[in-house]
Amino acid sequence: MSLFISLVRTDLNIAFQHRGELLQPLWFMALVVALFPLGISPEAEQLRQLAGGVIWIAALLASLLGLEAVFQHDDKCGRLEQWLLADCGMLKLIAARLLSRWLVSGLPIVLISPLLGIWLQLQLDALVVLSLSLLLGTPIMTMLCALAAALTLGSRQASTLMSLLVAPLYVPLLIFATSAVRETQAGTQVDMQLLLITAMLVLALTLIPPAVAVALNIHLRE
Amino acid sequence: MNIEWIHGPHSHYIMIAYGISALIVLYCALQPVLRRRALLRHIRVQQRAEKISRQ
Amino acid sequence: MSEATTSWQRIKVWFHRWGSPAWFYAASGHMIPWLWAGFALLALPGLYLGLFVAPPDYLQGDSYRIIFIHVPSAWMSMMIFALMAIFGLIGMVWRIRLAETMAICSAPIGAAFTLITLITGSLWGKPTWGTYWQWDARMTSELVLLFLYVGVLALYESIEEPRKAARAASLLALIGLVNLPIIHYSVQWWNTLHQGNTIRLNLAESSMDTSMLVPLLLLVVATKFYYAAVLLARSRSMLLHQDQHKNWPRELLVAD
Repeated sequence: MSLFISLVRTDLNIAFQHRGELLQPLWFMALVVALFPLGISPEAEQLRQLAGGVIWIAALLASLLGLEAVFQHDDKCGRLEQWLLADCGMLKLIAARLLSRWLVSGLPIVLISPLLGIWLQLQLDALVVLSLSLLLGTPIMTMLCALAAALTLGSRQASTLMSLLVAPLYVPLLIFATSAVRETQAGTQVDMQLLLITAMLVLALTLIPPAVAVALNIHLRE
Repeated sequence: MNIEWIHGPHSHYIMIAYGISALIVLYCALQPVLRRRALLRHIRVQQRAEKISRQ
Repeated sequence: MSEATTSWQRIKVWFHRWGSPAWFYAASGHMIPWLWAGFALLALPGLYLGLFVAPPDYLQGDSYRIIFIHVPSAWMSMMIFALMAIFGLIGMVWRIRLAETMAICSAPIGAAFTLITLITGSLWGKPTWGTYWQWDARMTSELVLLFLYVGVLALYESIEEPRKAARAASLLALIGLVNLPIIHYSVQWWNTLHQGNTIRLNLAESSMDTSMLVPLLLLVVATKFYYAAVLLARSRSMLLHQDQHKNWPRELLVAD
């Protein structure tokens, strides 16, 4: 367990040393959201209609930034090979990396989302649902990104390729999350959508870390 | 035989659909054959070159 | 008992032969012409019956003739994805090179069928729906399927070492297969949310006339022969390409 915590702590320390890079995805997300009123219309009613979709798509795009960094550095300095040989098993280290990655890149998206929602004229109840859906959805996004990062470790032009691999897998998440925001605005119950996202999160938590381990094995064992 | 549809209002959609599909299917089938032929030719040339250099 | 074990041994020997690229190359060379013959025997009558014998549909007129290629290729696009993932799993678990090769060689064929499905679908949609593209559930999930195929192919292309590339792409195919039902149902659900009145191609409900059903079934089976033939042809050329500096291709040429 101590290894788990120490890996998370090291990752967070490194991330905070490069604070500027940490903020880049957030600036990007805010920029994308700000472009929509400029490109479509500043009219409140129209923005409110689009808000859920716009913020979610901006979050998905922001999650794709800097995603090759998840394993690349450890791969270059040979630390991944040590992971392979670790006593506690590779899965625990992968889980630690996923957790630190989510704290660094997923959680800020959740925290900034109410602010962006206000830009797009969302009401309080919709803001709560938006943040909740992002809170449930960003871990899935982090895990899928880590999976793509592990798969593309040995490849050229990894970063473009990764977005190509991840984006189709985002489809169900985007559908249910944006529908939750829209239905809240319409005044209907959204338990079902949020429960479905939770179910996807549970599924992702059980399936993706082992898949990441397999992908890293493929990269390292050849 | 029922070929009146060829003069019907939607015939060009049908023809384009069948034409494009046929092109894709043909390309997909011919590509490996041509590639294999080229490879075999390449290997044969190499083999001959090795034989000559041995002599 | 002993007889059982010997036949088991024979099966094992037969199975292990597939591990040899040279043996596979020769065996598939014998099989491909027969598969093409099967394809021609089914597809040509199917196309003839579909285009020249079947009567026009009383609702859609003649544009329904597109479904004779649209429906078989839609089925193939999904079946090939599943097969690709299964070949990939076999390749990853038992480290059988031929299974890896077949998984990768399935991808372009599946992508081709997906592309045909999308193109014929929009060409059918124009006279029927009045638009080339409708965001209906089936078209949308077919589009996502195309993206998944492209992802598998792009990942394979981008990794230098062929077996490593094949294994990574197989894993991605497997992940895609797990995701496909989720994507499919979410898209279907999304569709019912936004459009109450999509026009459907009610094949099952409007019990099809035999004159339309027979060519459809012929083409459905014919596409399977096509897939098998092209899969073997692609695998042959890929193995030859990877092994061009090894001995067996040279021996093959000497034997000719």
